[in-house]
Amino acid sequence: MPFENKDNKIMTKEKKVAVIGGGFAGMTAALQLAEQGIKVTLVEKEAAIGGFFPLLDNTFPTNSCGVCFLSPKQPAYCPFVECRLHENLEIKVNSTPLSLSGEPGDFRMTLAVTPNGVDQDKCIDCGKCSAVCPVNVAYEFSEGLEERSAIYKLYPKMVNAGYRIDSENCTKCGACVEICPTKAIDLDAFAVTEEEITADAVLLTPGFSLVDSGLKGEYGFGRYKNVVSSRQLERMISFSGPSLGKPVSPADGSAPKRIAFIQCVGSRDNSCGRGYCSSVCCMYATKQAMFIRERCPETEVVVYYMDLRGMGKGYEKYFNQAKNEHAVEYRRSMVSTVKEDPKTKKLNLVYDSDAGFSQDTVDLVVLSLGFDAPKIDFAADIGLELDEYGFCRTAEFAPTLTSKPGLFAAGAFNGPKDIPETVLEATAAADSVIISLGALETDSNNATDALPVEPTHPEEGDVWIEEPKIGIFLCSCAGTIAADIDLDTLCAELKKRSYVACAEVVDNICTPEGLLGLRHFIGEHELNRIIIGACSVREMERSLDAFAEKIGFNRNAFVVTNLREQCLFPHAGEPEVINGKAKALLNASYAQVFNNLPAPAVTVSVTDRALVVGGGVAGLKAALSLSARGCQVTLVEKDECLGGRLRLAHYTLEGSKPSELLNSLIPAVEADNQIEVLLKAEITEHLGRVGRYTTTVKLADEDDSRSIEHGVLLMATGGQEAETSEYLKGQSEKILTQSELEKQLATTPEQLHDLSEVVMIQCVGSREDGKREYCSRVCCTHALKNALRLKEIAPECKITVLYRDLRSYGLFEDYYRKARDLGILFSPYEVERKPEVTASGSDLSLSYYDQILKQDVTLSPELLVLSVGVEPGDFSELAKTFSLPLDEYGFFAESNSKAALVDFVGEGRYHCGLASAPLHIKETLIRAQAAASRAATVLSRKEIKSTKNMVIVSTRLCSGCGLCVDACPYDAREINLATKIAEVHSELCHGCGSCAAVCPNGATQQIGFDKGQMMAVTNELMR
Amino acid sequence: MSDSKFEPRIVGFLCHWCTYTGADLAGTTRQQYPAGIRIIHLMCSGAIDVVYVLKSLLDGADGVLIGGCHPGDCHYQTGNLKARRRIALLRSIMDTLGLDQERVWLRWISASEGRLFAETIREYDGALQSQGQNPLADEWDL
Repeated sequence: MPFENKDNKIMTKEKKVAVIGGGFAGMTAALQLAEQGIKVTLVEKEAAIGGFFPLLDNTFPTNSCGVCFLSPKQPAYCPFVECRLHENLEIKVNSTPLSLSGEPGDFRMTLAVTPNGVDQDKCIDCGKCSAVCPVNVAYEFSEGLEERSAIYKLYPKMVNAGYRIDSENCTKCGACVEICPTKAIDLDAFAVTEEEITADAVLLTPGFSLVDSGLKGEYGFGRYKNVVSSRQLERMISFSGPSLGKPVSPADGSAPKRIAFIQCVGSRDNSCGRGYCSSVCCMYATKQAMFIRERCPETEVVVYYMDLRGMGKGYEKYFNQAKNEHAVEYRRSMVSTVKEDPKTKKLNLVYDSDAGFSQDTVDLVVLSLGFDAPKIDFAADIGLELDEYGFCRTAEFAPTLTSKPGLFAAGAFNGPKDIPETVLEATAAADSVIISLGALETDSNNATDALPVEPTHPEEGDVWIEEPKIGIFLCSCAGTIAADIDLDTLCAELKKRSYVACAEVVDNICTPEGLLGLRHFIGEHELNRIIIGACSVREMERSLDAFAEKIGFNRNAFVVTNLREQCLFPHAGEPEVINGKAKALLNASYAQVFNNLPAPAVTVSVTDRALVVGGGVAGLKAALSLSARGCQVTLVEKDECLGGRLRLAHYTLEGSKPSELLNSLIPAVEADNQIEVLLKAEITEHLGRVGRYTTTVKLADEDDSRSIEHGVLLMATGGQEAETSEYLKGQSEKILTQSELEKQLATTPEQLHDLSEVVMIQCVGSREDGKREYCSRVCCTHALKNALRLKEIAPECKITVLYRDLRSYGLFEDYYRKARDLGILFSPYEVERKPEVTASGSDLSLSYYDQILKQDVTLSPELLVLSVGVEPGDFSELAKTFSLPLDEYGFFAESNSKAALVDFVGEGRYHCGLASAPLHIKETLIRAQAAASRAATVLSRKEIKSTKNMVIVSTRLCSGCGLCVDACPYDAREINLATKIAEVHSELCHGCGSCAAVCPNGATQQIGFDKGQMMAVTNELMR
Repeated sequence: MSDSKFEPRIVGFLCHWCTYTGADLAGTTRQQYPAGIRIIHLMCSGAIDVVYVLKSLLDGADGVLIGGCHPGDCHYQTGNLKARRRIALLRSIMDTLGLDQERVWLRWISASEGRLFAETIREYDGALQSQGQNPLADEWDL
């Protein structure tokens, strides 16, 4: 057993977590954990991490990429680059977990490691092997749209090696072995080996797979060439794809004039064992449709769907954009068959419309494939419960915990979800993991700081005013660069330039040995400026930063010259050109480094306290999460008691009791001596910057205001059920909101026994122009849960739900089906033709157009229930006090609607709960944990070090004009009212240089990109 | 000017996160493009000072390419949009210098668009080939 004695404790002090699956969820959680000092092993069964990400050029709802924002430290590269670069993160590819056993603190996992014939350490990614390979087979990545050789990359965009051999199709001709310059290929190295890894906790993020494209035979995939899967279309609309971003008809390569999307292929379909909704297909089909319309305006696009499901805050707008701006046509109808005209290869769709069965002839049919649950072989062995579909079973109020302690789960494994939700859930899972690791420490009776202590480093050298002593180091890159560039001659030439103390060729600077050599030269020549001529700065910067930090060298004193990616590779076979360019680039770097003024970093200490505003479920959960990590928390609530809207909830669709959640959260918060609760509190002032905020709170019971010093801020100020006067609400006691009905169902069910006719109307005031344009997300499931409960109480009661799109997304679909099976009637209405309600005396009459009967129906409901939607509280004052941005609907605005949904722009301030968006309780808990986790990455640092390439200001030149203040997106520039100088707040500066660019006097200069430097560089380049 | 061997010299100011990385990807995926491009690395396209562009042109560059993240993807929120505004303004006054507007290009190229980067350079090279040498190149001897 670990933790039994002190020695063991020290050995296991470093916490290890295994993350299984390197898709979005895995990468997010791994980065989040690694950033907080946990050692992470990221296990991926494929040859590279990334999951579905490499397939997607652009994702909804922004139609851009932007996933780099999911990294905890901004700005960042794309997550799979970040994962590779992080010092606490080890990636194991080609590794499939065979078995998992053990208990929290002591898990052992056996991995089957399948070598792929290429030694990744030796491979220099020259591509010669796949060029000589005689094999041509269908490329799985695009489901056969392209071809590949037997030695190939898993996906084309893979950086740094990544070649693998497909042993099934390899003819073992040996051509690649012969041509490989580094002898990296071994055609016999395919024997599977087993490897055991250990971990204190395991996070399962195995993701999903798309259903088989041929699953629904009636759509003709595989038989008709012009029927393609959404995966193939995604590849077509990718700029790196075979058709360069445009759709083509595979039969003849022509541009399709009319394209039909068929939704729900393999989703919401019990006939193929997949009763759940895959949650993302409506959105991704819309995205694909928009891209097609944008790039091929002459192509018509029609989407055949059952319910349009886009439940995120901005998703409704997205659909409207597709409909109104891009003229994508949506038809609510399932296509029954697809038939090909053998001559023209056009496709004939049969579908049900207002006029009976209709036909549509199109050039291309796209099947929107749903999700399949992943296969987990060891689930039964370790006691991991899965649901009937194979998704992980988690408790509603502990959404990232599995049935087995110490095992956590996130992402599509917990049920289909899109990227934003996956990112949130993975961040929340990281929080759960860290808290559990802290608990392990406490259990062992050796309680110390649960969070790892950062190693201390020597102070950064103050070299910027010293006379330059330049060292130039050219990397041979295991002979790759040296083969084509005459490094020795370059060194000899560069050495002649003034202030160059040494110019050397080094083997593999990126390796520890290479860096050791560098260190030796720095010491010998007392260097204070360094040029590295090697691969891209992007490959080098992290190892150079870490190296500089370790030896106390200035991070900004390095200039990297890109001799490989931007010089050697793109001009292959032209040695003269390459050498000339290398020389020019190195001379430019000389000019840059010679004029460099590498000012030392500035640090700001962090106050170890979080301020949580709002004592509802989101605030409570976030406070507990932060406290469990050892952070001090002040929780401020304007009401006289904690609990917020959760006090008004009685039961959930999944059968949990909100009161139980409340009864666990509130006493836990009250008993926690690290959480200070302030009730009846009003916030009057908020000042400061990340790491050091001061907020003034006025308590109703106290005369004096309190001043709270804190390092981070979490806004969890909640939302509310919207009010309405539509459908005669307020004029009859028989008209209720869903919440009002829920209360009656829970407290006075006996009064509802005799009901015989109840009608529910969805989307009241939601999803309409001029009202609330967004979808409130929870109302459909709210209606389902009330309808089901009512059916239990009054089985004979006829319940009709009038809806626009029934959004029982993901695994909620099962409840929708159950409701239909119980005889609850669901009938869609169009917003142009809403139901009409009239009252005569106390009787209600409701009429609506029934789309199936194709006629008007009149009902006399005894109860009319309105799903009125969710709206944010009135945050205008709060937003002003905290100077925080609100979105167009009045919720707090996120910094990135895909990858940073709980973050405000810049570090240190976060939001969660209904203040962010309409959410279920479960989703609120996830966001609360995610926000806590993001906040903890700030608090876990003792101090915030200024970014590399920070800007500095010459007080002599600054005129205090304030242009820089406007240019800065992070509020890092501020005019000091006393001195009239535009100061830089180092802890907020992200080092973008926007302010330096607008400074009319050159008073603001960005370190490393000084204007003098840039001028010298262009001068040198154009010599 | 009609020298058939004219190889345009292009200065590329590329943002660290997107276009510079895209240029790297072009390299690692072995896209080939004309060698006349000299890349200068900036943290953000929003840090571009028009003076850098003008200086490059006065120093004899035949074209200047500014590369940034696609709108919405900027690592510093809106730096790319700032660049867009600034470059639009610059282009509007280039006539007065006797320079064609097309000597300055602003392009959005993401980190995953290596192919697009190479294509852009090829396209720019072609466009500058037909435009001929920078007329200011010989007139300024600083």
